[in-house]
Amino acid sequence: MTQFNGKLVLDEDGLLCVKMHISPMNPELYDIPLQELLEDLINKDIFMEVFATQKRWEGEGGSEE
Amino acid sequence: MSNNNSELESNSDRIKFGLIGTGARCGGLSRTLVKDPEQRGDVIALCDINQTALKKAEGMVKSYLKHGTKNYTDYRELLDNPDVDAVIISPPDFLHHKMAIDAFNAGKHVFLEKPVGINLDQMIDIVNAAKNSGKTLEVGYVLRYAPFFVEMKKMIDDEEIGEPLFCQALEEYYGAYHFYRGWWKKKANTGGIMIQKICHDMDLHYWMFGKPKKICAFESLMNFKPGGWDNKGAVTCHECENRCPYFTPETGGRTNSDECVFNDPHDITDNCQIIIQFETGLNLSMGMNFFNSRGQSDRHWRVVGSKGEITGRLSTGMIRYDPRFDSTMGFEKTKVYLCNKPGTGGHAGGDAVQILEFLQAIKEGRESKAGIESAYWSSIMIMGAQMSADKDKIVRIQDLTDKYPYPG
Repeated sequence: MTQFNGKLVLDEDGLLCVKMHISPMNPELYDIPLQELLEDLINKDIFMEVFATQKRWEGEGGSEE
Repeated sequence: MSNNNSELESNSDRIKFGLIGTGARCGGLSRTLVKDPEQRGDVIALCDINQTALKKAEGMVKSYLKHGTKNYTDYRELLDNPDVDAVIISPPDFLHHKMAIDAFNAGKHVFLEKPVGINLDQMIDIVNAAKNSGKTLEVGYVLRYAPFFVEMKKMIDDEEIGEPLFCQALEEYYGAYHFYRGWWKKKANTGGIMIQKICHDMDLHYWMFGKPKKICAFESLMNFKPGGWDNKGAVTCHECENRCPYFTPETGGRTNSDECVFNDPHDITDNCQIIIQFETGLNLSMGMNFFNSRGQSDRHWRVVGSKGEITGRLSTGMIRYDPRFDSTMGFEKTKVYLCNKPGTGGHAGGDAVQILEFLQAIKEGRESKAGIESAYWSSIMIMGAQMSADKDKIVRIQDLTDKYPYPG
């Protein structure tokens, strides 16, 4: 099962990406294309559920309400 | 025996800690202490019979606080040190009672790792000792500080789900196999799996839903017993020809033992179900099992209220809110909240916060958040559950509070 969270953004080329951490040890955020996040599921039947999330802390990180 | 190591210099403005037990749990707590940006605490003394663990703790103190420690193998000598203001007590569970009582009698503030004790007499003893000492007690109920539960509590208090009416909680703990090794495997040393693990949850339940009224519980041994895995008669991992996923090297890992968790004699269970009715009428069920799938190893919670319900898994740091009525009728839509700021640390973020609360409570001369009230009610509830399971009956909480009244 693939699970990830971050901010949905458009990169310079207009591609849908998720701005996210790629590892708990790395504090940097990277724009990862959705294509890359989902490529292992190509040609498979999937169930997808997507929510806009709201962060419950103040300061940086997460999506704004 | 004390051993002065190198020159001992410490900041005299800080609360001075002695660490009794320097194992894994103490390591997590003390790392937060030494890294406190407000520098409220200092570690000046260590006690452990395990010299390897003690040396590791000594190195950490030297690295962060730039000074040595007085080291002991007898905790009573550490308590006799007049320079120690507070102690973190984190030895095996069956030692908690004596050490905590002695620490309060010595006039120390006490951070006591959970469980409070391994039977109700011990637990109430400690609560009374804390009250009578006038010192600060903090029990290691770290989940009170995990953002997931902090936000859940806030949503309940702010009536985002209306009146809480119903709760289902489940703990599945893949790492519990070590309970069937070493000192953990005997109920006389731990009080049993409910006291060991669900003490956290009892504290959370009281915090969120108030005073309980009745409790009943069941526990059994379903899988961690002969036949749970075909070990071909082996009694240790290193001689086993059919290794299971709980394989541990001969060096023993966490328990310093590679006893077969399916074969070695132990007297504890591996699953339980508890039902609590609170004075508000809310009914809660709490389940726990240790033979869960690795991918589901987590605390799963659902709280249903008059306006909606919230669900989530602790490890995800996400709480999902679903309104009671369909959004097409003009009610709210489903919302998903993120509770964990990126970079959240151990115990879903609780480790980074709890010891700092203890420091602040000492400085302010007040009860800590997981202090006397938390220790008392979690003890009443978990022991009520254990008694119910042992005696096959529903336990009325008032029978326990009449026998063990809240310290006045």
